[in-house]
Amino acid sequence: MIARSVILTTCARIAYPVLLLFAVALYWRGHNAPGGGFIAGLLTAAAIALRFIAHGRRDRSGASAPFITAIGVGLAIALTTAFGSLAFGHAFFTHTFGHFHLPLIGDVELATAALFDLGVYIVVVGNVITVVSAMTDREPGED
Amino acid sequence: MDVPILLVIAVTLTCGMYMVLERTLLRVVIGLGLMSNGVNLMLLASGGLGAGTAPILHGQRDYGASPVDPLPQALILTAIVIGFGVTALLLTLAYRTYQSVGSDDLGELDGKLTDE
Amino acid sequence: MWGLVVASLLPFVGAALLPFLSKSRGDNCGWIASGFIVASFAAVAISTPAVLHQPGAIAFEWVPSLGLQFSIAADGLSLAFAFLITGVGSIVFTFAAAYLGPEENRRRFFCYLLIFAGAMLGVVFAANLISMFVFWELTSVSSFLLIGFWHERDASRGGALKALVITAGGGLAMLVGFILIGSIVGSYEIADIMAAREQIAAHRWATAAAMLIMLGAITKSAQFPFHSWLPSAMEAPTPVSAYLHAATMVKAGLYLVARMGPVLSLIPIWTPTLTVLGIVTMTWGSFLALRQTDLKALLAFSTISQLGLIMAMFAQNTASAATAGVFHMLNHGLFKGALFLMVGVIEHEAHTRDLTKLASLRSNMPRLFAVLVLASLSMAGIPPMGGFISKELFLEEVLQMPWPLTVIAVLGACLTVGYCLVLAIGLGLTHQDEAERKHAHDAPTALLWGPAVLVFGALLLGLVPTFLAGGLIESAAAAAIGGHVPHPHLTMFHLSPTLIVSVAAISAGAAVFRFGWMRRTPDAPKLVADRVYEAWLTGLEHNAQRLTASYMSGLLWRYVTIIVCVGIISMSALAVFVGFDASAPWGARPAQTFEYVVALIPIAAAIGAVVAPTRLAAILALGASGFSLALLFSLVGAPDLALTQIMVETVSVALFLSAFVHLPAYRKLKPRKFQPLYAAVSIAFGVGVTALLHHARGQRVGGTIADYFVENSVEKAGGHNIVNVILVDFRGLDTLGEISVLGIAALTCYALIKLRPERKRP
Repeated sequence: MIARSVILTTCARIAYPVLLLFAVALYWRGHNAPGGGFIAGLLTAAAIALRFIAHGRRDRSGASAPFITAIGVGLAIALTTAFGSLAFGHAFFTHTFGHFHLPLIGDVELATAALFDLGVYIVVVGNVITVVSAMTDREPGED
Repeated sequence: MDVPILLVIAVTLTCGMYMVLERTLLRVVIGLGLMSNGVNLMLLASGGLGAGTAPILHGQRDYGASPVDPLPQALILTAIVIGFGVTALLLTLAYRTYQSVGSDDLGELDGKLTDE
Repeated sequence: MWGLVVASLLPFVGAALLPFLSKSRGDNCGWIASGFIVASFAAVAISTPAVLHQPGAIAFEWVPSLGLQFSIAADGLSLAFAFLITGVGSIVFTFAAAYLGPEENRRRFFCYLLIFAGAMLGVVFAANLISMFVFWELTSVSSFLLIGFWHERDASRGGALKALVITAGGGLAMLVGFILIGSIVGSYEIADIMAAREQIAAHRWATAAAMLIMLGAITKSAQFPFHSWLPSAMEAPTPVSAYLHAATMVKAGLYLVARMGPVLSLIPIWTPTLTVLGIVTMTWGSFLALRQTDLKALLAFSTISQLGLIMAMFAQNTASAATAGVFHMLNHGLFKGALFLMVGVIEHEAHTRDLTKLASLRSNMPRLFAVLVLASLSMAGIPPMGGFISKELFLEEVLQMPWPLTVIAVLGACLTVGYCLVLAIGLGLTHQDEAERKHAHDAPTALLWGPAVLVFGALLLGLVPTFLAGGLIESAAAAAIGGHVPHPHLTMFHLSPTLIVSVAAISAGAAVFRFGWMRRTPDAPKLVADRVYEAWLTGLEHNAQRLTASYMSGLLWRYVTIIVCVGIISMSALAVFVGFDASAPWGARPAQTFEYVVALIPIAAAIGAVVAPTRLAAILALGASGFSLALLFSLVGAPDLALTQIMVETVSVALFLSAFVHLPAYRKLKPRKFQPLYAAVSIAFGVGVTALLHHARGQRVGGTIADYFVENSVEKAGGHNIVNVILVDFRGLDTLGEISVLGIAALTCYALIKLRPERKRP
């Protein structure tokens, strides 16, 4: 972006962690309430994009590289959970879940499906940020 | 709820198609975005509309009063995200086309992309 | 019988193994290929006595669901052709092994040749019309590849294409005929069809089927008016001309006529049409042969002429005519194969095959000349060659035909003698000067023994025909007429009216040659059939181009308009014929006023996007459409969708805004003038799709699968949000596919923007 706005930068600084936290919450509760990997991923991406826009170009030279990697990592996680069931003698893509009692937090349900959702989450973040940063990473008129 | 949603579908698809039929690249991309909105609504309407509760279970199988079909919703959720991917790709193509050809007029593209 | 299965498979096996067996330069592949074909010949020969005694069949399942089986059947007719294919094949393969120099791609050549031999055996041993068709077209394809063997030449490519278009096109017509027959009988097995011949002849499709099958036969055998591909096919290497275009492939049409004769000759149109076509082809071909100066062209037209003769014989479907046909076919395979090979030798040694430029063969290549004379005598029908007997048998049949046909046929016989004398005497008597004599030398034995063996066969067929092939001819003729044939008494010595006609024809032919009535033209005028073919081909290309150009405009909106219009028209037609169902419920309850108000937002946003005067406004309108969609989603009980839509819309708008900086200012932002046509198309599209949706909503059959998800979501997947459970668990594979697509899309965007093509170096 050509000019930076102080108001935007300040707001972004405050909003960024809040949005990320909200995204994590959306992801976590996704199996049982509205939310999930897609939504959380998009929200995270929106937060990061906001930060990019607020801080301008200089802060993120080369910033897109880790996000391209993230696409691969996310796909790998999703594939691992999909194929993981084969190792336990179940059909491809069989998920399982169990309940655990954690101190302080209480009864927690953990599902391998959530792991798959994590892969989805990471791919979505990687996708959006790769595209947005590639698109904004050049000044208008620069070729 | 069906009649207003069918109306929205009809108008959105019409406007989307009209923009796709234009010759400015960006307008075509916007038109496709509109059409994808309309199609998402179509999927929803094909599953039946009503003021049902969200497909979220409370107890083991307790579904609330009138259930909403969850399958179209899953399809649409996928379609929305894919739609974003498509829009991103289209925008990139539009951008690169403009860079290569020096025009965003679809009528001037023919034969110009072969040089590169 | 199993020997014949082996014989049919050997060439294919050879073609598959040839690349691995041969040395790197392909030096020995000619001999390896010859080994396979000779082995195949031996297998045919060993099986012969048993098959002649008792014809048999073997069937393998092929496509059981379609009732197709791969079956092999053998009788005298198949064997007669198999002998030609493998016997002449053995000679041609060994000849070609010595003939083709190391500069040629011999491995490819022999591969094609073996595939052809296998396909040809497949045709004659097929007991099923469909498998016969498959092999039939395989011979066309291998012929295409062999004619175009020297693919760097324009003429080769043109000749190959012409042969393929005509023969494969005829083959397709034949397939339609086969299917008609098959649907009449209810089986494609030839044995079943033979049994049902009366039923076929009485059927109203019989004439159409007969004409279509005839089309296949006369295109393959280069009969008038489809003869023009054969002279063009002479662009092939000479062994190919000898093998495919004289001895075997062009006889596939004759085989078809003979094989189907017992059935199709019951249809009134069959025999007269084929007889007239055959006789006309014979005379016209021999007339054209006389006008050629190129030796190969002369032989090509003579082949056309001889094929016409045999075709007319097989068309009669009588015992004597079938005997004449089979006998002459064997004769022709021998002498014509030999003649072609010898032309190859002449070209090899003298570097020309132009009649007017060749020096005297008698003094330059005495051994070759002797063999050439014998072969020509056989073709002319002069004793003591086998051709004489078959010519007599032919004339005997012709004398019983209506007199115009008799006249034409006898004229054809005269002309035949004429061009044979051109070969036998004309080549030997040419004057020459001393320089040429020194330069020329006789053919090497390696090249000469092949034609010599073939001509020796033709001679034996003349001297001891009954002993050599009596049983085979009897059995073949019986199969060709579907009845009993008396054991043929073929002999050189007889007194009958035909002998007088024969002598007259020979004298007249000699006169034709002596006085040069048919003056040869160095630049033979183009065949009318050729002109028709070329006009057709260029017309086809031209019109296809025009038709394609008329809709491939390169303009996106035209394409979309065409697609949408076709869709709307076909959907409307469906609505008219199937009926439109408007019975779908209009919702569980009537819409409330506030819902109409909410619906106004996306409607306004969509219209706003169309009329927006600036890019920014249009992008924001698109965003408004998306956000209002989220509102609708939340109203109908889809909170996940609403959340996703809000997020996607946020990110999309950001993306659009970052992209549009790089795009030009939107046509000075005046949208194009209002276009009534496109508006109409768009409205038809929007309304049509919505109507389709409403129609579909009334067509629900069966229950919904949602119940399954509802019941198992918690129990099997441990999740209360069914939509999410579907995404990550029940339909997890879909989601995996989707995120892969997302990943690929992102990488593509990145590559398109960041990676540049290398600058062109100066």
